[in-house]
Amino acid sequence: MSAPATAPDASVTGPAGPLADPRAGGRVGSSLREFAPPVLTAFLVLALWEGAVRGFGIRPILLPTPSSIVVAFLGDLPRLADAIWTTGRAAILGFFIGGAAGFTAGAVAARFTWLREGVLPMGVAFGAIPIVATAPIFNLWFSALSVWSNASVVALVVFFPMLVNTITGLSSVAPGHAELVRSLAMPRWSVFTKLQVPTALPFVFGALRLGAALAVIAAVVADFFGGFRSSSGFFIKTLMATADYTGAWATVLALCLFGLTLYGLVALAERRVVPEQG
Amino acid sequence: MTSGQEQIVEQGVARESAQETVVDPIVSTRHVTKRFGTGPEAVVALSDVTFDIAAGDFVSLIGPSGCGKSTLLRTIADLIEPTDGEITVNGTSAHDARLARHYGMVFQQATLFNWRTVRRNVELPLETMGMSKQERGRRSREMLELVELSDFANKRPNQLSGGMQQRVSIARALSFQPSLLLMDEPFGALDEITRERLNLELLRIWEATATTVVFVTHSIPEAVFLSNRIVVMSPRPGRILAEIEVDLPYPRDDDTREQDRYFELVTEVRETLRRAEAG
Repeated sequence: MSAPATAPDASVTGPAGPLADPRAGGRVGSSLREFAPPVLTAFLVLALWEGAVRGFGIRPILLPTPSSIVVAFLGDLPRLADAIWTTGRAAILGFFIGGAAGFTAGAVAARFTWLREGVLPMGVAFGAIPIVATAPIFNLWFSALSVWSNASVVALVVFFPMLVNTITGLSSVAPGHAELVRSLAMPRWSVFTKLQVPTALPFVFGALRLGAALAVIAAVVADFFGGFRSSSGFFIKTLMATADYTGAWATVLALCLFGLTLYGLVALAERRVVPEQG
Repeated sequence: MTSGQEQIVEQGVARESAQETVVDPIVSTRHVTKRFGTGPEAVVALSDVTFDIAAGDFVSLIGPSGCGKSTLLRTIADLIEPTDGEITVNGTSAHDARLARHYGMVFQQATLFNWRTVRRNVELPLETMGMSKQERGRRSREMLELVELSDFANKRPNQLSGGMQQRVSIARALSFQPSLLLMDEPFGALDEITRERLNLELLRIWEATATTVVFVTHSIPEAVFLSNRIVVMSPRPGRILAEIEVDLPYPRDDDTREQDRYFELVTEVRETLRRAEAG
């Protein structure tokens, strides 16, 4: 998805790029007000970090300076890109599969009261257990050298929040709207597409935003349990083993940027799809 | 505007003939009772309600909060099933009438979809009926003209004032030209000035569309100004206290509210309600 033409000036918003509010577009004054606090805070934290490490003489093995991490990051871009791609495609694949499956299952469950009553608490419970712990099991089921193993871990993590939010969203139709469509004798499918889905969209996107963050975490954790040697999880392990701690931090930075991008894309899609609610 | 004038003339003729000859009522309730809950905690919302509404009427159901007037309207709309009794709408059961879309309904809240434009809100019933896009566009244009909101067709409902939203909701209810319009305190949430303006507008729409209106309100002046008949209800259990004919001539306007007869009728309704409370 490309950024809308009204996206605020990148030089003003800086790292917040993909999260930028398109509605603030064109009004540099308001985007400055909006983005100045987080950007300034980030710089302040980084400056404190840099100062503390230098001032207190903290060894790089414990905590490297932000500047050295950025240097390592820029110096190792091709290998990092490769690592992010290996981990990222499992995250993205799992994100879409888990999201679609969660929505479908939620839509079916929301259709029948008894099913909804049964599935909703179960979904909440399953969502609470650490599903990333299933990674070794999935490695058994699928070939360890297939993207599907890690993608399944991600899909499962994304699935439950989506299931719960879809059920909740589809069931939160306003009583007045419910009476209206009944008075119009609207067929069930029309009620679903014209009323329930639009009502559920903010909930669905809430699950997608959460899912985007969880997907990257799950994909990296799954990396640690095997899989591709080029994956970022494996890369971090290797760098740690060779005492390249700054390189490990640079990989974390790369993963952060990837996670933020994914989250930003979801937020951008939400702005386009979900109209402002009154 | 000539077609509108023709409609008014036709409407006038229809109303006169309705008074002269005995026609089947468009709504008729027989011994309608509604209990909520069971056992000793059951609440009787409606008790033995029997009345008729003739085609072309503007009937108001009035009474204090909790008198079951909204419940009665909802049983006519088949949104609530009565515990006992029978309701016919347009010669069929209330249930079949709902499925056949014999009525349009306006609620106290405008119940518009904020994710749709004003125009597409008005077209919602037409989409459900499978009408072509072209025909839907024609009808919604006509309806928005009727409620004088043509300039707002492409706005979102939340960009409109409360009074405008309620006018959109009326346009939506009339978009498929139902013979019956059910209104549940549609102007109850609006300020007095907006309410009086919308009362005038509603009468104009009623006269232009040959629709029968059943109007729930707890405002006495509103009921007298709008209706040709007022059904006064008492609370717990909700039943009909009196039916008052309003013999103020149509078309009514702001001057109607200053006539002696208007004040007499307002007093009559008020005293009927007060007697019920005392008794």
